[in-house]
Amino acid sequence: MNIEPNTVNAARLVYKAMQVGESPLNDGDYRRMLSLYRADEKFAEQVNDICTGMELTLLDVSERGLVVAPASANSRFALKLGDIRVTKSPEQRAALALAHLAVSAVCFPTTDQLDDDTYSSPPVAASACRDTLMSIARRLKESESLSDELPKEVVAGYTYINSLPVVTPDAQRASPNSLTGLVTLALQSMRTYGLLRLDRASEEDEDSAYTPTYRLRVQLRELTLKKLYAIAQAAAVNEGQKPDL
Amino acid sequence: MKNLAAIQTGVSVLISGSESSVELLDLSRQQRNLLLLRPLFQLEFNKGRIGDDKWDEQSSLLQGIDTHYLALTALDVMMEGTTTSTGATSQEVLNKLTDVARKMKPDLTMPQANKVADVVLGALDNKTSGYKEFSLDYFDAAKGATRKVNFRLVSFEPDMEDVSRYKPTPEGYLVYLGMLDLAPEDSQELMEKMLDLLVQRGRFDAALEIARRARAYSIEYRQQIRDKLHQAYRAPGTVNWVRDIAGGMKKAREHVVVRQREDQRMLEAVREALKLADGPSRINLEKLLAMLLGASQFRGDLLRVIVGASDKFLEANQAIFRARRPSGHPDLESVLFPRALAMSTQELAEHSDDLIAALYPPQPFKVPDMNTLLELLLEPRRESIMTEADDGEIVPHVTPALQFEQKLIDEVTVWLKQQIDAEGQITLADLLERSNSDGQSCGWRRCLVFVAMRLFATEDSDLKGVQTVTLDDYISDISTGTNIQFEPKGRSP
Repeated sequence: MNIEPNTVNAARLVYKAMQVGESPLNDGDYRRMLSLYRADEKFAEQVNDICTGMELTLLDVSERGLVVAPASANSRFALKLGDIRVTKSPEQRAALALAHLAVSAVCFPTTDQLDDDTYSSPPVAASACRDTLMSIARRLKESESLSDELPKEVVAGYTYINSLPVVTPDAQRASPNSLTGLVTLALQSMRTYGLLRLDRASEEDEDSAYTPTYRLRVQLRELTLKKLYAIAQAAAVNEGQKPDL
Repeated sequence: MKNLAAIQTGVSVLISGSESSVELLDLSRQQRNLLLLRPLFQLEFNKGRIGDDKWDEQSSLLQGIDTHYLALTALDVMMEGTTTSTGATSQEVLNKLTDVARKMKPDLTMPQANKVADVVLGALDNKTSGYKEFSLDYFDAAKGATRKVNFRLVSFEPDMEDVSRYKPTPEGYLVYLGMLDLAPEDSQELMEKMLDLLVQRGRFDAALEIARRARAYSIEYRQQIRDKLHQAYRAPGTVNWVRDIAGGMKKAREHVVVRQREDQRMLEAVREALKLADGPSRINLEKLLAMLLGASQFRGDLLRVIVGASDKFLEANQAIFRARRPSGHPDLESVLFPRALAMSTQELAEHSDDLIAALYPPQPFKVPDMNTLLELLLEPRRESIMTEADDGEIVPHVTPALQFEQKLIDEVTVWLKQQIDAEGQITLADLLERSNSDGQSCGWRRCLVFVAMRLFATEDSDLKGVQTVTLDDYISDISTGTNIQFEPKGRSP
């Protein structure tokens, strides 16, 4: 069946891109629409326009699919932290965001690995993510000097991470009150939204292993790192330091 | 005088403004060490309030239990645990504490002893504050302001096999070792000198005590080194071997080699002394020799760990081979993520939605549909149920004894019937008064209230021909409540 280069099909392509489970590998229409996107400039333009109109950003087009993301945090399509877990305090919100970054850092530690499409990350154990979060926070604590001391009412992210127990002895469900709980929450949610695949399930959450999906690579490479870079730069300027990145 | 004070404390800082002559000594180190004991004191102080509600303060669960001893025992179990693995499991600690508690107070039942152990471990782990760090205020004289000290006495962390184990933190060791706040490697040297001196003077009992402490220090030192290496092996990408570890390992190696030399010398001295000794000092010397041999073995182990560390690290690194070349964006793990961790939680929280939106794919709108809503509500919630390790034992059900004997109940019922028949209409308050003037006992009158109350419910009533009406409240020496009026059935509509 031929796919006509019209608005309906352009919108259908965007619709498919927005579904986490859809893959061109097992969807002939999706494959044909992708080919059309690459071959027909006009069709590509229509797709781009639909994305722009719907507050979406087109991140990547390849044989693995079209990857789109919400254009900003204000987009109706953007996931909020509260959708993952209703958190009580700003500290918990910060810690949950850091747990997501820790998982990403374990999957793709360097920019080279993100850039290299042939690199496939080995399965990542939940315990490795927790250890990375813990050890970097500890290292920062050890290297802190008195001159780095923040005002009393300001708590640095690593200080809060260090103050949390690694695991709470009687925990039954993942909660943001321990490092293991935070990482588990991040992993579960990233899996639900198609950023990770469960590679090896285990009764003990810590032994479960996950493989990053292509989507995580694209999200990190095209969007998250840029955002994080900008936020970190702005924070350094606010503190009156010379941005050292 | 000022100089003398400064010399005496050794750490004092004279803080005096030109207009004020108040001198403040900098005691923050001592203050902080004192605060480390606060959790132990708090437990001891509050022990009267802990336990079964039925017990009064005099006989509360922890009465007669020395919680200090139990807390130190727990630290000891954890410390000894680090000699064979990375610490002691929660169950190991609890078992030991249960045994000690039962020795201290033999009339404790097993569940009570378990509860005691749980309370003590909970106090060390700050269970009441969600296992967070202890955070206590103290006055910092040098800064002239109140500051906070955050610490943990024990840490509960997974080992290589992901079995979570308890081990003492450096602060925990400080509490255990009686506030001798020296680095373990310095303490080891100090102990060696003392040991040497004591053996020379023939004070073998004191030497044995010192050797015991020296052993504790070597355990602590070994744990410090192993913790550092353990982190490096688990997350090799986060460690720069040359910058973060290699220097420390070189120092540790030199330290251990010197200690081993000293060990050898000490062992020979003790063996020499052993040849000449007899009686009690011989026994002490033999114990001392065993202690020294044990400590020496720790050092041998530690040396092996240190020597093999770099190879093991290389292996760990190869397992997750990561080529690191600078390009484009800064690397997430080595630059951006630490940078994010160093931001304040306030800033992070503000930007968290931005970050999450940038990480996740677009989400379809969530429009709750009546059907899906019902489905969600009906879905049973999955919660892993923790089964108890000990199922307990089955005991026969014991029917509680009746408060009043049947004979007494019958007697009171007959009396009540007579009163109602005679008066036609009478209230519970009047009945109580009348029984009091008849000289009935307190128990008898309480039984009267019981029987009267039973009359109120027609099913329980022993006097079928009597009906009840509720009135206002009444107060008497036996009971208070809603007053009830009794009368023969059919008397009032």
